[in-house]
Amino acid sequence: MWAYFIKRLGLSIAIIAVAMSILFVITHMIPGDPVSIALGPRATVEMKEEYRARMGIDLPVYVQYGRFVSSVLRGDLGQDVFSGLSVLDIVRRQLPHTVILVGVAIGWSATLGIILGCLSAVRRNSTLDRVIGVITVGAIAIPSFVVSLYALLLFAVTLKVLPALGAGESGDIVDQLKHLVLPGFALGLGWVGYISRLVRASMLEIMGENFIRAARAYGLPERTIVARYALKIAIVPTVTLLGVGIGNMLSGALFAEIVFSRPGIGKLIYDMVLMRNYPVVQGAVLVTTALFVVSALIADMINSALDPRVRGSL
Amino acid sequence: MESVLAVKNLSIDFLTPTGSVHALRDVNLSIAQKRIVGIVGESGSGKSTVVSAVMRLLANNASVHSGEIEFEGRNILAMKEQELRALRGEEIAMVFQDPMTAQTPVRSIGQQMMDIQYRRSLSRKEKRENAIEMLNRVGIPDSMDRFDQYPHQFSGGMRQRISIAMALMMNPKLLIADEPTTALDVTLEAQIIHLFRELRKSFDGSIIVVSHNLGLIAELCDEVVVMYAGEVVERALVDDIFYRAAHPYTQALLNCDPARLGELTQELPTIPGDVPDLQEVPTGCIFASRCDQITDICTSVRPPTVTVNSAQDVRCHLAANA
Amino acid sequence: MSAAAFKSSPREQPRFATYRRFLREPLGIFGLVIVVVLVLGAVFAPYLTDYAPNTINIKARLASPSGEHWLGADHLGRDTFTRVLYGSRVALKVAAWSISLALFGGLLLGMLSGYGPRWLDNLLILIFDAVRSFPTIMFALAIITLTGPSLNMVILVIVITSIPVYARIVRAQTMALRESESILAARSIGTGWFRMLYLHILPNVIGPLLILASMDIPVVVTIESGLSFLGLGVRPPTASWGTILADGYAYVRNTPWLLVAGGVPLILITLGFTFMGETLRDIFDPTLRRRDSA
Repeated sequence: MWAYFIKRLGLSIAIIAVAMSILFVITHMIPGDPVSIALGPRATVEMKEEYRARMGIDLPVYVQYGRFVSSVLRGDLGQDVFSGLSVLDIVRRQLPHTVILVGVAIGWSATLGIILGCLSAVRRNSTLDRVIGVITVGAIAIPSFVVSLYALLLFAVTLKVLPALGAGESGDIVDQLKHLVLPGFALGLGWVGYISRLVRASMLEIMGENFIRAARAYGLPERTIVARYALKIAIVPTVTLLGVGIGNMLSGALFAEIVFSRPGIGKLIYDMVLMRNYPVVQGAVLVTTALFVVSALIADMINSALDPRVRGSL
Repeated sequence: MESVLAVKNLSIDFLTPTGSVHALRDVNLSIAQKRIVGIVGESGSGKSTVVSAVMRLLANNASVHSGEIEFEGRNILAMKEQELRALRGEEIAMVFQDPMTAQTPVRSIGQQMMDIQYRRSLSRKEKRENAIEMLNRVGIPDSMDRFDQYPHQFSGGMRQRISIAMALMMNPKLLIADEPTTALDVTLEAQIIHLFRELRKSFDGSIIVVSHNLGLIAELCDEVVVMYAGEVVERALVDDIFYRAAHPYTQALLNCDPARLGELTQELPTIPGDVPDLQEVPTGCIFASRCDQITDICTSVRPPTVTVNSAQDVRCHLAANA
Repeated sequence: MSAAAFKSSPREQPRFATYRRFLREPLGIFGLVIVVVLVLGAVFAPYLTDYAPNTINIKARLASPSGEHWLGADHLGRDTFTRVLYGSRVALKVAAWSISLALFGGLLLGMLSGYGPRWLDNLLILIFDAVRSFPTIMFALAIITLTGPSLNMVILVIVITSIPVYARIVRAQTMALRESESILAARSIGTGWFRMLYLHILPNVIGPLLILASMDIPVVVTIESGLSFLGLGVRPPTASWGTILADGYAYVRNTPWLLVAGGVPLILITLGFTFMGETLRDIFDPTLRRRDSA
């Protein structure tokens, strides 16, 4: 199992490296002066000079690339020319909000999705199955930012049962939880649909397998068979889906943060984009991407723990 | 002597979109204590359906038309799920055809063997010891180390041994082996046959061996039941079947054995014709269309089952009119 | 993905069999109807409404739906129904351009990756995975920070992030086909690699790919709407479902109708193409898997 982990880790690092390089390259692919492009029309001459010196714009490209790579490796994602703060600090302060939101969304949607999927599979073609089927199709069909908007419209504005904006009073857990309800719901709704359908399909496939029939022949209780024998395998595609889907969820979180005016990486990037503040955008995107790659890695490792057959393949 | 298992007039249909398939018609057989009975027949003869019915593990579209299956006097077909589960694994156990898909891939074989013992209130240590002892009995080397390994880490032959170990672990009264060597090559088959012979010394239950392989049946069984297209056509002791077969189908089957090639003919003999469509069961004898000893009455009247000698039954007009 | 799936493809069956099979699925027909209505609405937009999408009429500010304004009017009095219709034009334009370009790029790179030398394959896969590791919207935002918002940028970003997905699928099929007997036979008579790709591999790869692409249309339209909603897609005053939603969000306490008008078409287009695509996929090859959508 460790050999597999090392291989996957190496691959993940390589991917992050290439992603970094892509971000670096695009600044130089746009025609025009890279400094003006990166800093936008609001930058003053002094700011540009400082940026030019820091990034060594006048030096050959590969030297710039080398500087870039070495600074990222040291943890230095650059400085925000407008505020002077380190990009890493800015990003670090916003990251926890997004992580909490995404965590909550995955938590409830995966739990509910797995339960609904199992129920549908075990009671195949029953009324319950069909009802769940219809609900999940509906849930998938609405894009997540539209769900955010409609949730805002329905619960916050029309019914006024939940707060519309912000993350709640810091220190007041209950208030913060209340503020998490709508964004968490909006972000997770589509996923309940996907996961439920995927679990249903996987379970149906597995329950038809020979070893399930053999397990029944040994007299094992149905509950044991479903939980320990079937579900463990059925979960694997769902874990993969979540691992790969985190990228999607991060994009969705961006919209949720904007619609509900919550602090977080998404809101940060958006505000910086409007200011044409590329260094911060670059740093935030880099951190988010690394986060995504790491979650995919974690998902793979979870799978290899669940299904020992995975460990051999890469 | 009360039989361990008695199948009485069992008829089973499979419901398909195009109609009912009459897969089993009026099947009778019985298994006495400590006997090994072979059920032999080609694909589609219904032999797997019979044993699946005994375990009540038939497909969803199966419907028992009539008949009973009595295990030690109790009617299996009338039992509720609760009772069946108490029976499965404990009193009746099954070994399946394909060893590569018979164990669940996500639990170690040790865990699976301990799962089976859930009904007994034993400590983990005791369950583990039982399992390891069983693995030793079926000839798995290094059983203590391999206890924690996963099914995919074992070869096909080993996995079939593990299936047998799992089936015998609770010391059932009846073991059903459904095509136990069909998925294995000849060397492995020989090993499994040897294993069965060894186990027989310590196992005092009865065994049903289902196979289309006459050689296997000859090696292992005391009695043989021959099935064709959903009916039992002959039942006899193993020697009687091989030397004094009374039903034309059994005789033809024996003649087709490739092992006897060269002895009888230079060409590979076959039975001409096809198995009839079981949605439209023909009148008369089910084998009539392919029989080389057919008489007039064979196509119009279904033959009765006739006792030929002390332990041999045949469903054939020839025997009835002899 | 097995080569065997291609041997029994409907290309070898009589033509009408597939169409008739499709017509037996109610969901598929429902999807097709929605899609046709949307496309017709986009194409014939000017004839379906008397208003122009950008005509300001302060007197009708934030009007609710009525005989005059079927879906009401926005904060500048512009007729919402008209803007939805013209917005569908934007949606379809983005979908058409980005998916065709992405298909082209994906086919090219995917076949190269699957059929070419190992080192090229490894390199391309690494690049594909790296591009796919950016959350799409964030990648779009990074690029737009540098270039400024525009519809063309949206299309470009979608193409860049879509190519790896298509390419991977094409690559998988190409690699499976590579070992199939028909390909080995062609190679044994010395067929050059270009002919191989064009005549033997491409026709087998393209069918399922088109189905996947059609299911991708709602994803692409959603991305465009999302970016336009953020003000980073189409420039105002152009109508797009995203900008309608943005106006709806700004005026959410005044009227719900803008949000409804902007969101419902998105939902419908997702339902329509999904039903249609899934029905087609079940007919052609039930072993295909959907890609994750935004």
